[in-house]
Amino acid sequence: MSCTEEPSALRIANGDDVAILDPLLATGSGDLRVMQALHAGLTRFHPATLQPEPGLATSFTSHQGGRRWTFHLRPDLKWSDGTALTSADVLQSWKRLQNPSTGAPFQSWLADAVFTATSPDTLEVSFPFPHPQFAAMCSSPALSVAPVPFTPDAPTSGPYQLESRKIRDSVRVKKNAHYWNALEVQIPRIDFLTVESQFTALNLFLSGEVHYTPNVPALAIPKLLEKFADAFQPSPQFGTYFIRFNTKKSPFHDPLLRQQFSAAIQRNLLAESVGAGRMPAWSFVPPGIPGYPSASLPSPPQKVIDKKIPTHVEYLYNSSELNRDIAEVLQHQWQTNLGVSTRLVNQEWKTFLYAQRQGDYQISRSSWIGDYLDPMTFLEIFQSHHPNNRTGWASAEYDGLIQEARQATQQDRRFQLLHEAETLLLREAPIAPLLFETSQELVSPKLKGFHRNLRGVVDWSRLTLQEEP
Amino acid sequence: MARGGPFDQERELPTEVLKQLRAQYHLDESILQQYYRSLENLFHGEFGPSFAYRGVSVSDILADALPISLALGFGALLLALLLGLPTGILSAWKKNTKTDASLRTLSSLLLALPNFVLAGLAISLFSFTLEWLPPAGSGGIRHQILPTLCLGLPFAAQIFRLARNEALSALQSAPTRTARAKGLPEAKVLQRHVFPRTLVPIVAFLGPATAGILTGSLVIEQVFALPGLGSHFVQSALNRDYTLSLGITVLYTALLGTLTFFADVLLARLDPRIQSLR
Repeated sequence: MSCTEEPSALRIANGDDVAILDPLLATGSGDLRVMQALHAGLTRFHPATLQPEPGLATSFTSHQGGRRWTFHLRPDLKWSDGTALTSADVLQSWKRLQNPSTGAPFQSWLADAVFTATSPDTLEVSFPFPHPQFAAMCSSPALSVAPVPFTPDAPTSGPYQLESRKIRDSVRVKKNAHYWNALEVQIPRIDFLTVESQFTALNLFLSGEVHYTPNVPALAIPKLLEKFADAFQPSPQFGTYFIRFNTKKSPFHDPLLRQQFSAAIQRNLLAESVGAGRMPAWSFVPPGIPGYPSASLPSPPQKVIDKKIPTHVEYLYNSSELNRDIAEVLQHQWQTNLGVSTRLVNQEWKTFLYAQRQGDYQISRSSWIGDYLDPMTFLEIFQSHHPNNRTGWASAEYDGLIQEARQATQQDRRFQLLHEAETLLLREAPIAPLLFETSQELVSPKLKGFHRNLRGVVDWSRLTLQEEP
Repeated sequence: MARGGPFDQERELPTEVLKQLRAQYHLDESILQQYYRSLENLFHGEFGPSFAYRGVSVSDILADALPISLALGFGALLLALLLGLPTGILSAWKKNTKTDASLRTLSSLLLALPNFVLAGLAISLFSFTLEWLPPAGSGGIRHQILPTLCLGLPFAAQIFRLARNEALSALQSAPTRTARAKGLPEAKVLQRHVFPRTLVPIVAFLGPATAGILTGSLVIEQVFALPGLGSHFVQSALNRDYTLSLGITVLYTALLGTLTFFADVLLARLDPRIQSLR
């Protein structure tokens, strides 16, 4: 990675290398950080609350509980090369997302949408079911407006444009003078540096070579909390660390046994031992969604049927320090509380995913990060035939509740149905939530206007860099 | 065979999307067809597109990373030779003295320390205590010093050992004894009879070592965040980036073959015994 000597450039230790520069295809957190700088959506998120605000669209309204949406684009929008950006460009970009041959992971977001441009600056979108979160989703890179056909050095719609990319080194972006809100953009250039090792990122941060790094090594956390409290403040994230039980195979085809294993986990102790501000999880959907009543784990089963408890179980996790620590705590707790001996099996990431998908496990480590602040982004994955279910658990009642929630036009009713679904999920226990994720960002005090939020996303265009903190 | 595929991720892709992707990358063809395609590409000097870096060709990735690895590797080798060779001869010449003992201790220490520990110590000293050098990054000569040092020092220790052993036996050999008996000055003895002989095992070692140092500096590259070839080796396999994995293996094989060949040619020139085998 290059360290620029030019003044007032913001330097980010961006973790793994940026693999994909296409906003519709990017999923890696490092890739998405760059996408946030390059591509703008019809809305943008409030940096603290994540509520949608006008972006490329100057206003947006929903009808029929979110089944239909109308967006009015700002007049005189331009791409970074100065050519006009109209509603036709938005349509093209969204059609590209919709087309399976694009290979977009978020294709399902628009799979059943119909959208038309009623004028050069008006767009109508309609769905068969209400999409109350659609305005918030529009601030995601997947729904941002990117030119068609797309190339990485094509003009951009966002606050920055690509200046250079060096594989495994850095991505450099420079300010887009044609961005609708260019006056607000204070930082002329950002270097997203590839720094795979968290220790290296920490070294670079401590020596002042970078201003932001998304993760820190677990070993350094106590010291950082003590000595760098202004830069390191772990904050809640919209993500849950949980375990999956393979309900297709003995012994975990029995819901009672799953509940017992879940109830035998002392989540407070677990959270304490892994530290870093992680909170014990008593529900699957993390807290923080305005208006959604949190569900909670059912009380432990009254009747313990000892003969049903196996003597040995196997716990599968993908190799990482944190996963190993958690696995060891679980192993100890199940031994102490249930008398079960747990064999820990670790696999590298892709082999692990394959095993999980094939149902080749008994208990396996998992986590899920929400795409937008809504319980649906968590709960939909445990529908019977959802590809991300991977527990074998199928419940017609659960599917019915999710389907009914999809069709509900009143938010209160929708949340109530989703709450019921979550309660059912926790009672049947194909999964057991363990911890809520926390952000581990290190942010230089020189970076002003930075807000830690639930999704760990940063709007680079609203930051300023002051050489004297 | 490694399980899992290049498009596997926590969030499973929609079936239709996955089908299209597999078709784009010819993963829907039979293994034989894919093998034939790879061979055909290889004959044209192409490895195809990377699976992980969408829209980037493997040749471009290798072309970007190779110069960085070359600069780091050759810098480290040069340092290793400049330090290891003279100190090895000196140590043999001063056999069983304090100089010999301290050089041998130092070389054992450098060989025993894993290079991430060495890197950690160097960063702690030069970047944080003395604040002379940046802890990581590329882009200037100052960024090159620490990685070159940390990669080169263990090699210097290896060369030191090879040089010392060979110099010891050269110093006790008949030609050296005769030269000394004839009254040749000690500097000339070392130059004519010891130095050329110590080069023989070092050249034999350098062939494969160079290929290794160019592609296998994974740890150093990670610690100092250098975009060289090293971590492609590991990452491409972990990502199931078949084309990049193939590309880097072919490159490594070619480097290993070429460098070993040159080392052999050079050995034949240095060591008359090898020529006489013909």
